[in-house]
Amino acid sequence: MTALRKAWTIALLSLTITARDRGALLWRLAMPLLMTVLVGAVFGEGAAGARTPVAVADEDDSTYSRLFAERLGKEPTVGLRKTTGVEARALLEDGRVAAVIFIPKGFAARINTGKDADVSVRFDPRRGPPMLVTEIVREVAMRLAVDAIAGEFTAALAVRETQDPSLGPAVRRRAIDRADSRWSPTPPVTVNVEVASALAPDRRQRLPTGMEQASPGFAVMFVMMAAAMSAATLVVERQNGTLARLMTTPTRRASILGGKISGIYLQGVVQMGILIIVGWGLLGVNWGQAPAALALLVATYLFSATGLGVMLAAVVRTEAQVSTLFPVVTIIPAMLGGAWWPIEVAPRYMQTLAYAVPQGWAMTGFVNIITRGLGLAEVLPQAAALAGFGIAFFVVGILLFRFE
Amino acid sequence: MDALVAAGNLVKHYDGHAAVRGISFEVRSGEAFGLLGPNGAGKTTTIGMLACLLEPTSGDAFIAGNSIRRDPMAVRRAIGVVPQEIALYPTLTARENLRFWARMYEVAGEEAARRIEEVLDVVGLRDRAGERIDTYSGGMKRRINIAVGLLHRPKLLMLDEPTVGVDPQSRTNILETVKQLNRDGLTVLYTSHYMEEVEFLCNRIAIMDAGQIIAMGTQEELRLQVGERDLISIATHAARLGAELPASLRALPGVDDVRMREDRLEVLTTTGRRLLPQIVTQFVAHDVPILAIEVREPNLESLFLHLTGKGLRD
Amino acid sequence: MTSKALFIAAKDLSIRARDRRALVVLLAMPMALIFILGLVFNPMWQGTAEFQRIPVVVVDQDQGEIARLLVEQVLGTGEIGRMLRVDHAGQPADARNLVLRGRRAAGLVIPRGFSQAVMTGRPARLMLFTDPAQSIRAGIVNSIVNRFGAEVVKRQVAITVAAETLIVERIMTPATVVAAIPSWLKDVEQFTGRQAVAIAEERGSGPRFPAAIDYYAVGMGVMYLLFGVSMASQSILVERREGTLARMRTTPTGSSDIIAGKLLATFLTGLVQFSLLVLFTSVFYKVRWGSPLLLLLMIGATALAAAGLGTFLAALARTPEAVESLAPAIILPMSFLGGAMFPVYFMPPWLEYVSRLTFNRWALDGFLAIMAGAQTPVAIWQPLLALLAMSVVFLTVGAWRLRFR
Repeated sequence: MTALRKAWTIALLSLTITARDRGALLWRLAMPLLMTVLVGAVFGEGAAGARTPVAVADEDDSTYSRLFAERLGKEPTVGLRKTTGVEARALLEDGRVAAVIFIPKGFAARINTGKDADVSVRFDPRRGPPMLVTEIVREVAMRLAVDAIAGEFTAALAVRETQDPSLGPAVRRRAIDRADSRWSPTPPVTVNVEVASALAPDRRQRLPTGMEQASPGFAVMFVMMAAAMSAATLVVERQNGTLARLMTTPTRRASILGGKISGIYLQGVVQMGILIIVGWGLLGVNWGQAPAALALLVATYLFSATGLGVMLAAVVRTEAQVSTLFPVVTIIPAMLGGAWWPIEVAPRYMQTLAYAVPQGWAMTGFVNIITRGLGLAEVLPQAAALAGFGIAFFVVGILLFRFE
Repeated sequence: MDALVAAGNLVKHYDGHAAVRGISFEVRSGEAFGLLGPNGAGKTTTIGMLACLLEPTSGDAFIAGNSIRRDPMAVRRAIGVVPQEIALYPTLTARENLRFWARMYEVAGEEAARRIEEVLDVVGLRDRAGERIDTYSGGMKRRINIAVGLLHRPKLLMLDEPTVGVDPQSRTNILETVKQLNRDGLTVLYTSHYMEEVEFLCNRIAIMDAGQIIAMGTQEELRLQVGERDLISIATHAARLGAELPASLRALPGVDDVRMREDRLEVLTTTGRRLLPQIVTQFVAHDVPILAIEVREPNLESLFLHLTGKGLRD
Repeated sequence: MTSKALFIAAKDLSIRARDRRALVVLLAMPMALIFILGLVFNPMWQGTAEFQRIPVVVVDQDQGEIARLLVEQVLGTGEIGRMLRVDHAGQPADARNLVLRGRRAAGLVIPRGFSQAVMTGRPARLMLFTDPAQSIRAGIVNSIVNRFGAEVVKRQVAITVAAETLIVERIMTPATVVAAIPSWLKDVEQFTGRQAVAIAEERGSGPRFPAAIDYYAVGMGVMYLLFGVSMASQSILVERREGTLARMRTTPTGSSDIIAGKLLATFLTGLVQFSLLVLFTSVFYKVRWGSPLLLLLMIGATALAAAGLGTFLAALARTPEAVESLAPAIILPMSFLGGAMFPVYFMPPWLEYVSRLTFNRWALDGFLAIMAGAQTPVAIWQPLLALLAMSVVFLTVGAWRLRFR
């Protein structure tokens, strides 16, 4: 019975014990899956929540006023409905739309006669200012402004040349027409936006959905939680004497510790494996297209998490202490690391802080693989950092570990 | 009979606090040796050192010829430990626990399967071996605790307070089991703060207090140390007593004194209950009726009190 | 009867007050969370996000006048220049690579012939690569480039349309037009400032969207209230295990007394916990909670419902350990659905209906309404009613189940 076999037996024991622990299963598997589903329902691809509901009340119904609805309708993240002014107000109050665009009667007439026209955007204060909608409205307004300027300019020139003011309105009108016709089939200046991603084209047309962020984010957080819970188990074993008892058997310390550590790592592998497969198969989560890179990232993240667990078990005396440290080790670094929201949203100094915790590196790696579609080479720095964290944790943990 | 365990001047300090201050003793092969002392005396620490769990600050001990300092692995193979805590995995069944610990003790395959059933029989829990430990009563848990220590047929079984918090029936059961194991040839090292248990089980006893052994020997040797004598009290009809009976009693070997009370005779002796048959013979010979006989022996509790001024259970 | 309940409550409270770990967890944690969340989200929600210089790579294959105008003037100077950090690459492929790896938020490619096309009135194209992981920053660059394009278009369209129209209307001849264009280039500037369409952005009626830190103070505060209450609900299970519960039963104390006492303790704990949270956040984070009277009403209702939930949890679980893992499993999703982490209004309608089943949703609605300036109880009658209904339901179910054991 070699030391290796004993270590293996000990590792399998931890797996068996965890598999029987309903609480552990809840936290390691059920919760992350549940949260992924919830977030996906709220922000995911198929959800109406991904499309901002917007109403257009077009009381003018002219070629120009219809431009707003047309342009908004082309935007995939906007859910457009056409309505009247009165209805629109009610919709807004009820919170059924995020914003209403109101185009009064006489809109086109005013433009054609060289006067300024009004458009109003009213938004639901509970949802905050609708950035995208405002941007689109400005875009349409800009087009009309270009037309109006052209009209104005041409009219002014015509009047100057002929010295006949009466020509103005007609010329203006025709010039505006002509100007507007320049927008089709191709606008005068187009900015072609290409999302730079290594993902295969058919996978690229995904909205930057919450799922892409949420799935790895939750996985990252719950893996660390699992490691902390394993630490708690070790502490309990120390308290109830099974760890000491192991020491009274002819088993080397190295086997015992090695077995326990491998047990924790194995549990992480199983957990991550299930989360990835179920997520990918059942929930349609995108895990990128580079399995090798994903495997490396997961392996090194688990390594760092296991190390943290061992360090925690070495440093702490009672289970209650683990509970107290729990949020500090799992929730806060997850937030800092960009697991709860895209890291770019946070202020600069917080983005830097993300790299102080393994979760930050893990999230960067996942973003590289999932959102950017990159592969093994790009993930190496993150893997190396995670391995480094792991080694540091292990060194401290193993040196400080006590069996009784 | 050679010494299975030979402890020489074991000392253990924790952060300046001296838990064990230099104890030496021997346990002979086949013996049941008791370590008796109040809580905090250092018994668990001593067991911890012998089990190679704790490193002695100084001193050494030899178990089955192996030094605890130099050959801990060999020592661990030779001993079975039954710790004070229930060191079992609660969510596993008894059998699963035994299977795991068997592997840790390097008992594998068919031998393991056989051994597991054997030890389950010894502690009498075979029919409930498929249930989870956390469904067991305290007494049952302790019995499985013992079973684990027996798996690898150790030469020495060390039990640390194995009956704490256990109902009387289980307690009796445990004591009987250990006694039987000892009768079958297993050397036993038993620690407790219950005097009755140690008296019941052990041939030789060491009494520990504050990290030191303050008395050691067989039960009788220890009792003699107190200097107290047994008191045999015989209730009788004082009228029929006469003077000859007391005189002949006094003449018996080992009798220190005979006192007459109103309704009974008190014999002070160092020989104890072994004297009883002779006393009865004397009474019969002198035709004095015996209404009742009571023997009061000095015990370890009083010895402890005598030596330290404290009670065993303070 | 009630005095015994009071004693039981007092005993529970004194035990709880000694649990230092609970105090730390239940007060310090939400504080820290609220703080971090507020820090992160405040700038974004207020729309004044401050993005440190956005890295952009430019490939100018054109080198023409308009291109240089874009790169040197627009991207390189002024406020926009301060927002960006621009560098150059030789080939579009290089630029794309940099953006792909996330080293730049966006890459602009000005193809050859751009300036020419613009100046001769033909459709012109620009290409922009964006990093999908930096969509907000890339979006900003997109806006900037689009604005530039718009400015260019204004002049280009004005001049070309003027030329065409005047020729077609026979007001000028082609030759005179060509001669006039250089001066037109200057003249047109007078007109390019024209807005033509005025966009009025109005906030609809309804409560103001609170600052991030205010929102999270409520959201996280309510969630942690639930956690605190679940810890308290463990106490009855602990007592059952320790045997003190059985002992209480051997005294002439009815079980309704026991339950009432424990409930009272839980309720008071929740009350104190939340009030402390309100106090701390208003002092240290400048959160304005609104009308004190309504606040008190709301806290009371919330604490009551929470106590009910706690009792229900205790009845559901059987051991204190079971509560430790069951409670968060119920509280976290419920809080999420109720809007503790993301506002409910971002959710699709069906999910929004589901959220009405959660405790958090109503608590949040009530508190947010008070924050927005509600002055009379009428404004919060719905949340109050919902919370009271929940307390009654949970309490009766929970108490009934507990009595059975």
